[in-house]
Amino acid sequence: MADIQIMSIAFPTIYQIGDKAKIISYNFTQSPRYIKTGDEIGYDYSGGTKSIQAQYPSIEAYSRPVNPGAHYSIALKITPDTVGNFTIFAKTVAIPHTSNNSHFPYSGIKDHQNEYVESFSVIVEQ
Amino acid sequence: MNYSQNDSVARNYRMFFLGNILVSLGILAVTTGGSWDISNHLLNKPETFFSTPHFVLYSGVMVALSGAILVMLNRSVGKIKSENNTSIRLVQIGIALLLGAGPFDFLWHSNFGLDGLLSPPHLILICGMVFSSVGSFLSIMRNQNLAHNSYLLKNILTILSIIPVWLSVTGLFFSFSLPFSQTDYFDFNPNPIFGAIFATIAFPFLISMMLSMAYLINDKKFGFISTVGAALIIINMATSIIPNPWLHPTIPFYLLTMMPIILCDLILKLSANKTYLYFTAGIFGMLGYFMYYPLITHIYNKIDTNQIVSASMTSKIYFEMVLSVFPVIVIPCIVMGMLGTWFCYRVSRSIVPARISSQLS
Repeated sequence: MADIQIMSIAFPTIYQIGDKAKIISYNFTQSPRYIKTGDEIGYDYSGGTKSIQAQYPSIEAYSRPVNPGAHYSIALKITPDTVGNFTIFAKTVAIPHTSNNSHFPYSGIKDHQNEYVESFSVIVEQ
Repeated sequence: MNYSQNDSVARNYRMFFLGNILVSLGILAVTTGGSWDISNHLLNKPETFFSTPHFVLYSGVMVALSGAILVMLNRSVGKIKSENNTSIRLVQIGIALLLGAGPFDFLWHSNFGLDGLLSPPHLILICGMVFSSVGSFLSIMRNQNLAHNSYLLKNILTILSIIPVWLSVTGLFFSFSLPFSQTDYFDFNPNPIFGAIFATIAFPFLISMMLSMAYLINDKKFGFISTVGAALIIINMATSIIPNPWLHPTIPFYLLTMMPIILCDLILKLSANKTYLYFTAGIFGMLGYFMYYPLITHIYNKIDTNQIVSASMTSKIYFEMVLSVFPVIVIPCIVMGMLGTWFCYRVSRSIVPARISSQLS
């Protein structure tokens, strides 16, 4: 069980979300939050004690509390407006963060929060 | 004829008195619902306007409204208006604010979704609570000879009239100190340092003032400080601790807060001289950090370790801060507690002027 379970979807190749990403549906118990570039956000799974300014925008969906076995999802419609590489970072973090099992993924690329993310990229063509 | 006229006037006085009791009862429900609503937000049950705490809160508004109608209907009889002019006006203004806050709050939720603790409709609601509860408190205290003069009834009336004032003002003070007022649309959060300083000054003053009030308006008799303190502690436990299962193991600790209150009550029973009054006032002031558990954790955490105070972490963070924060705030808390009692003495002389001696002057 977690007090809070956050699902973060970040857009490291754009400066602001604008109309490029729209939330279609979600079943998280709380309303998703849009994090803008420059917003103060947590750092290094510190539970708020360390913070940093966001270098790119993201969407955070979250539920609290979260019981074992619960499933939550969020659907986004993403429309890149420039050609080239378009990357999405995805991760989930449980709060309180007590061990390496409190986040996913467990290894790989680290984002601006010094936290592990799964990276997904597409090449956008005209 | 004369008898029936006297009976009619006496009936009007009783109805006026009953009206004020209903206003106080209503505000008690509003404040209790409000406190429960804060816990509901913290535990993050999905939020809509139609939540159970909101139902309790607005049921309280209805009860207070019915009481205010009784007050209005009977205010012109005999000397009721001249004797209770200020309190009647306070009830009138308070109820008007409460009634205005309901639709405003609904519109706010409809347009901006989840709202913070400090928002324009909430501020109007809290001000309405403060005005109404102070108004009914003044009327009840000035007219309590209309009720039978038993010790039990006096205790009930004291709790019923003081606790709504205490909880309403607590709500107002929390609005300016808790970091619960940032939403997607607005950021009304207080500066963390301001919030902590404000809490350190305001809550000890309030606790001391309210407990001293219970003592002074009841001829300095034993028991009133304890019952009013116990009532506040039980309501806070029911609305802020019990809804969070992670805090249940800390309930015995929280109930221990009653001990210094009962001890102070006993000290004042043995000797109510100036030294003892200020000594107990200092103890009341020191209780701020403990009586307002668990919500006070969120205020001081902001300037201490600034962790995320999630449901299961609240008590851990709170008890860690007993060592880091409490030693820093204890002296200002004692001073503000003494000031609260001093201020209470000045104010209470105008409520029941004949019965309070010049002990503190």
